[in-house]
Amino acid sequence: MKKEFRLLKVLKEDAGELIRPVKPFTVADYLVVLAVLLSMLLFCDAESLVQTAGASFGYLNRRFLDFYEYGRECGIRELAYMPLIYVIYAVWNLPLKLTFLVRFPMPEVPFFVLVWYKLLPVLLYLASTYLVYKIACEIGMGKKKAKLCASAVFTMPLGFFLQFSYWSVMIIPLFFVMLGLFFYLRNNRWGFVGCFAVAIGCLQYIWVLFLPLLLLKEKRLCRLCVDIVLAALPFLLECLIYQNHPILFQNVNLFDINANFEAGLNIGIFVIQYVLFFFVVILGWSYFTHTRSKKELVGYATFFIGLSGTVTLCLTNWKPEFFMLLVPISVLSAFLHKDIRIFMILDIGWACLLAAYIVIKRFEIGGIDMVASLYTILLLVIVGFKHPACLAEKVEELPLICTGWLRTRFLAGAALGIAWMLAMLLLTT
Amino acid sequence: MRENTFKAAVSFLYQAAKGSVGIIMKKIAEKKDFILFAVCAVICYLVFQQGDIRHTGGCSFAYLQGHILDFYEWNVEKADMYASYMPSTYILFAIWNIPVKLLGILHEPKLEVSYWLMMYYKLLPTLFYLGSSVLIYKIIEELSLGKGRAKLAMYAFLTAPIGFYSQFLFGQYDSFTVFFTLLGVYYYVREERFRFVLFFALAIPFKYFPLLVFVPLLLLKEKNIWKIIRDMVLVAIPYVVELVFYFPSELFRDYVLGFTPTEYVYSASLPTGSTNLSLVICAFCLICAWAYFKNVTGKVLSAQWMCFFATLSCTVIFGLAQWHPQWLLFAVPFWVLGAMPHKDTKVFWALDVLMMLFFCIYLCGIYINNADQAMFEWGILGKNMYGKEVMPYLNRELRMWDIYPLKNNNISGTIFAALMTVAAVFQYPPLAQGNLSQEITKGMRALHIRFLSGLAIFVVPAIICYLVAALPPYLSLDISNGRPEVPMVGDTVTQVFTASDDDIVRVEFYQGTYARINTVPLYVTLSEMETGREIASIVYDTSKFKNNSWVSFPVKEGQLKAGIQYRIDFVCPEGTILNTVCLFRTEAQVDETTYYMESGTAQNYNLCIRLYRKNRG
Repeated sequence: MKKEFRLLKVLKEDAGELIRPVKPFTVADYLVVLAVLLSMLLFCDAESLVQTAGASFGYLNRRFLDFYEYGRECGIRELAYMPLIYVIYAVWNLPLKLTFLVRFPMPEVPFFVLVWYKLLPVLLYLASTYLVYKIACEIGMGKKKAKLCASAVFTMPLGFFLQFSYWSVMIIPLFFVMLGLFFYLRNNRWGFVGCFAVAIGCLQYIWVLFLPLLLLKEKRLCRLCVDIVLAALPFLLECLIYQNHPILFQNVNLFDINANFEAGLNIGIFVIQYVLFFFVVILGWSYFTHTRSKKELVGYATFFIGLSGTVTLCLTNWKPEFFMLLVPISVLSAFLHKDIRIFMILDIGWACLLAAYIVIKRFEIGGIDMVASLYTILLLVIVGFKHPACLAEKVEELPLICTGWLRTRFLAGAALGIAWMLAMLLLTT
Repeated sequence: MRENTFKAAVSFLYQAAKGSVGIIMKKIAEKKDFILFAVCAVICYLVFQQGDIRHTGGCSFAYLQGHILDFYEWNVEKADMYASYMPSTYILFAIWNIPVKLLGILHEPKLEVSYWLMMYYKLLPTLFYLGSSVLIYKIIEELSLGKGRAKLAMYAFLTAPIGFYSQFLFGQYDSFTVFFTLLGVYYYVREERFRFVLFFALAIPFKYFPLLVFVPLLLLKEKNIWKIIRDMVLVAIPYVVELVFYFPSELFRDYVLGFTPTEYVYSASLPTGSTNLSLVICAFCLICAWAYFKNVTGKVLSAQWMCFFATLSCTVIFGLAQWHPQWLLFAVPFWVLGAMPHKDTKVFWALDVLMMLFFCIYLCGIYINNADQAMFEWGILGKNMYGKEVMPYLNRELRMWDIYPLKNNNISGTIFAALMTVAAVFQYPPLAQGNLSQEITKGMRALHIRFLSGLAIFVVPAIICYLVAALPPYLSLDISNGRPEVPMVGDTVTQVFTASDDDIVRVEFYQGTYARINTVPLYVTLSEMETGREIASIVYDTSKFKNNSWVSFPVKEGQLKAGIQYRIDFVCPEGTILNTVCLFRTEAQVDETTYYMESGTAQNYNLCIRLYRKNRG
């Protein structure tokens, strides 16, 4: 009898372990996140951001048509983005202009101006996280799981490291991508196309994410053409306005895709470029995929975005900050998977390998081929095993993970970020 | 037995021809569709042609002269023509050319023939092309997919942009092999095994591509190893007979068996250290294995798997190896046949247009002045009185490659290969099941859009090239195809030339910007060589220069006199290696009065320059 009772107790405990609800975050968790965030906001160097945000004053000074030339005249070295990014920053910088704190593009700025510059990406990062929450609710995850998903996005080591150490402006197009995805899932065609049009206007790479999504949902050729033209409008408008401005075309590297497509198979008279080849095949795959439910649509949408992002970035001469674009979608698809925990662990490896790649590249240490190979394969594993066939049957099912993994994952990202910040501080001093 | 088969084949051809007329004439409402095709086909038939057919058609006369065994030697002896195909192609042309011989128009092998005789040569493969379309109709009809679908398939084949290009613009004879392959496929669908093997056996000596389709098709249907071996032996008989017959000929061994394009299958390979694995062969073997292990029941499903394996094989051979533009005709029937039972037929028509776009961009980049606007030369516009005046300028003034915005052959070739892969992979039968019991009543509009847009992709740029060649100004001197070897860093560089005409209106020079924006001014001065008299001078803002492009230097008509030597001086005083342009120069010398000069010393090469005159010479 006693034995049976003990056995029953053990079984109950095991069952309890299995159905144990996710532990809520404690106040200490929030405090740690806030402290890390604040330290990054206040102390981290953000040279690239200063250049971008600073250049935007060209628009506030009404230098619309000679914006790039004016920026260069004012000493801005990096004018590496499409005009729309600067327009958005110009709007953000309006208070600085109105209060005469900054009057023209400056390559170096006072501390509080730098914090103001940094605040926009922080807010957009938070907004993107909120959009992930909304998307998660939209696809039926339930509020509890959606909150957990959003917090996983916010604390994703790679995203946290890239956003708050690197201070990349990729968050601007990413915000519009997430907004576009939200509309996409709500079947709001114009919202979806409009948001992606803005994102493409900011960064033409967004085509790589937009086209598979569009082809997955829209099978009518006429509508496809209309949507593609609409999505291209802001980008075309920018090209039209600045067609005689070689700085834009040289710096933004719009059309010089030759340099990025080196990986290929030589078949004698020409080289099959892997990136293009796989990307076109992915587009074909998404077109010929028919989804029957919203869950399946989300599964395939996130899978195709991940796949095309991975293929186009890992097989080219990539820039680390571009991986920022894959962060929310990667976490979202992980929360659709039956085994979320493994992706939380892989996220740590992802961030560590990217940080290693950046360090090796910057300080020209050996072993970059090994790191890049491991990184690519890891990413392919992360993306490939999120094929809809591997996803959980019930979206709303709460994950069997403890918050411990989320904490570990965040701390790893924060540690990377702080280490990077300290290294940069040491280098500059 | 053989006599019976021959009679059956003749009877089939007669019925097919009769049927095709019936198909065209029965439905008056759709007559306009065929008229549209016929008008476009006739115009393109007469206007465009590539020159190879003269060689093949001309060689065939050796048979009519009775030179059967010494066919290859006789062609070299008589017309210096090195025949490179198996005898089947020449035999077919020889039969076709009997009336030419009897009428005394041509007696012996000859390369240069009249325009109309060349058009007569072209008629034979065109008839085979039209015959192939009837076979497409019959195949779909045999699958009980309905007459509407069969008719649509026939029209889709006739107007397939790449097929149309191969037959009516390029004007080659790949339709022979396509026709016999389709006959084989027709009997495959009808499950008449002997005729299936027979017609594939007849197709293989024309081109080797049918072998790539035959093996998977055989393995898909036949699982008995002995029967597979038997059919493989049977299908090789005509080829082996021809081989044995001509093997003693050294020219046959060198030029037919040693035909270079056969080696293309080894280009894409995986080095293993000890050897190179041919990706084409490996992939093809995998397809064969897949076909063998696949068991299919049901006529339509079998046909879908057949098309899938055939398109997959075509993708392997044309996607992983170099191809010649006319070869793609071989894949067209399988693209069409595979699309017909698919639930998403229309998207394959859209894919056809995209494929045509990248196909044209690629071939105009690879086969410059051969498979592009140059095909006007053998067409009716190149052979009349006015055409003779235009032709010298056709391939020099503006080429189709200059018009297409994409200049990178790797990108166009890759996208084309990827589109072929998409067109093949998504014919995978489990993904393709549609409602086949429903009769198709519409779909012509999509086909018209596909046909006309596909055709326009090639024809419109070709016409622009012709017009530019026909209109002034005209090239008087062309020194191009150089390399960027003259960076403008301080010293004056000079190109000396002699004006050939009094009506020079423009001088152009070729430069590169190192793919960056340079801000230094470039001073260019044109003056007389002997007297030093300055004729014109321009200061260029180099930030406006496009990388790797011609820059125009206008002169007034009459300023340059024929026979007088001039010099054009380039100097960039503020130029540094990080901020300057680079002029292109050639390796070769044009003549003694045209040369490049550096620090006052003449060199035996030239800067890339062009002179344009107002009137035709």
